[in-house]
Amino acid sequence: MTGLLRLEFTRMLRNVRFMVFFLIFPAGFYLMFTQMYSAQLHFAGSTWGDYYMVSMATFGAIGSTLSTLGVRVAAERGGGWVRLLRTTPLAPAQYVLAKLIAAVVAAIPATALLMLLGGLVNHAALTLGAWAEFLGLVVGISIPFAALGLLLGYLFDSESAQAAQVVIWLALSELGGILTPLESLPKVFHTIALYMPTFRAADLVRLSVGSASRSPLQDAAVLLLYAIVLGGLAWLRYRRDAQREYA
Amino acid sequence: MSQELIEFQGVHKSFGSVRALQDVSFAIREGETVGLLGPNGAGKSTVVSLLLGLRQPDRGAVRIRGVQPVRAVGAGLVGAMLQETGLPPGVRVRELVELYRGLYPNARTLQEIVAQAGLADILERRVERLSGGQRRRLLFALAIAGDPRILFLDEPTVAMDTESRRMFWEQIDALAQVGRTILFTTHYLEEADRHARRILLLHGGSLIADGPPEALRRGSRTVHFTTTEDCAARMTSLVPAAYVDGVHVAIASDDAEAVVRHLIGQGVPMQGLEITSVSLEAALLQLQEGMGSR
Repeated sequence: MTGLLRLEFTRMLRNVRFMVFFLIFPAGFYLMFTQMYSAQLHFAGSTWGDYYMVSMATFGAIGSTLSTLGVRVAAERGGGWVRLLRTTPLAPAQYVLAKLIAAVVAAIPATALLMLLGGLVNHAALTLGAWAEFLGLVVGISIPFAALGLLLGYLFDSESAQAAQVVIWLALSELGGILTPLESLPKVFHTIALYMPTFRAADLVRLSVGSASRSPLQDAAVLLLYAIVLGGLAWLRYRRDAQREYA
Repeated sequence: MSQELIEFQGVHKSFGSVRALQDVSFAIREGETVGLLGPNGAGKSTVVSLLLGLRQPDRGAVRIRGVQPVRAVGAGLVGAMLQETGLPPGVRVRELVELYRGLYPNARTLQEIVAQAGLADILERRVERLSGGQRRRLLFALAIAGDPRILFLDEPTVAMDTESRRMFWEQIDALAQVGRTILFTTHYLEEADRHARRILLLHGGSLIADGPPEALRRGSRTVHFTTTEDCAARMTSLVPAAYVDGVHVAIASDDAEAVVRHLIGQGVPMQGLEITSVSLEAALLQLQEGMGSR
């Protein structure tokens, strides 16, 4: 499986267009909105700079994770690569595991860039431990989104997966209050956000920038539930696929 | 356990209302080279996917070394070339070969694989930039990378140019020589005739012939000669199947030699004696037509 994982990373590094897409949007939004409103502004228990750094890191990480899985799994299923791998000693579960690991790792570049911009441009004052916690939490919250990406890969074909993934990425991000801060949205959005994995993810990551999270345990529980449900659905689709598709 | 390496026992497989295979049975011993032939839709690819464990039979059993195909594949016993295979974009030929080498317990060396599959000039190329023939070469390389005991090749030479095809069969013959078991499907009958030592003929999901190419051809040889008018007149009483046209006689037979011996025994003069054997293609066509009229 290490061989497959190595191949996944190689492909990820070579796919520059993909990387840039998920780096430029979050980084661009971050720079724009922290210049438009002062990064030092007090906002929701931390500074606006720190708050939005978390939002955009989460936004980029989720986008990277989703698309590493959704579009690729759909394409590899449709094209027959998955089928060919099934004629080798590689266990199907190892293929899925390699994909999941690669997807979670894919969350790192966007996060690292936001950390860099936060530190250099807006002088986010975090301790080394806090930076590490930040990165660790983003990787952690990527897991349910990796499960979601996998599910999309099994639900859609290679062409529709791309669109589905972008729509879901943007919708979840908006409804979870990471594109537009919840604080500036009507009350009803606050209620909706509580059920959104994106809101829970950002809320959890905010622990690292010292913002008083509403309820980290509840956040983690909701995310875990999402991971289990989405992962379970992906598993069911995968099983169905295995029985039907391999002509 | 039985000494058969591959067993296909009373296999039925349907896709919806389409019956892909009906009661197909055969066994393959270690070291055999088998050509699986039949028109489109005869069930060739279904047989291959059942042998690879990609599908399960509705009824009957498929075994490789006495176990389920999935387990044989998992143990690295099997290498395969499938018909339509999308390779992951952004990956170089070398990287894909290395991936496969890592998956099998007793993989060949990279050099061996490169030499046998003719990859030297495309080793650093990305898979999406390969031509159709180069892709097939790469897929062959992947199939043999793990040095598996058994090779299942579904239409291996489609899209190959003449030179690639020649090289490919050279390699297959060499693998057969060292005792690898090979089953391939093909549309090119001359390939099966030349490289398979046994042919399985599928028609409409049933196995209608099974034997060495020579044996399948045998029933369709014809004895031609010219004789005297006298003999021509009583020819049908000597050999009922004879076709007489003036003094020219043509006799189609399973056993041409016996016909000739019989006629010599009867003192029939034969001038311009000739025994022609039809191509394997014509022989198979006859078999299939025989099935259709039944």
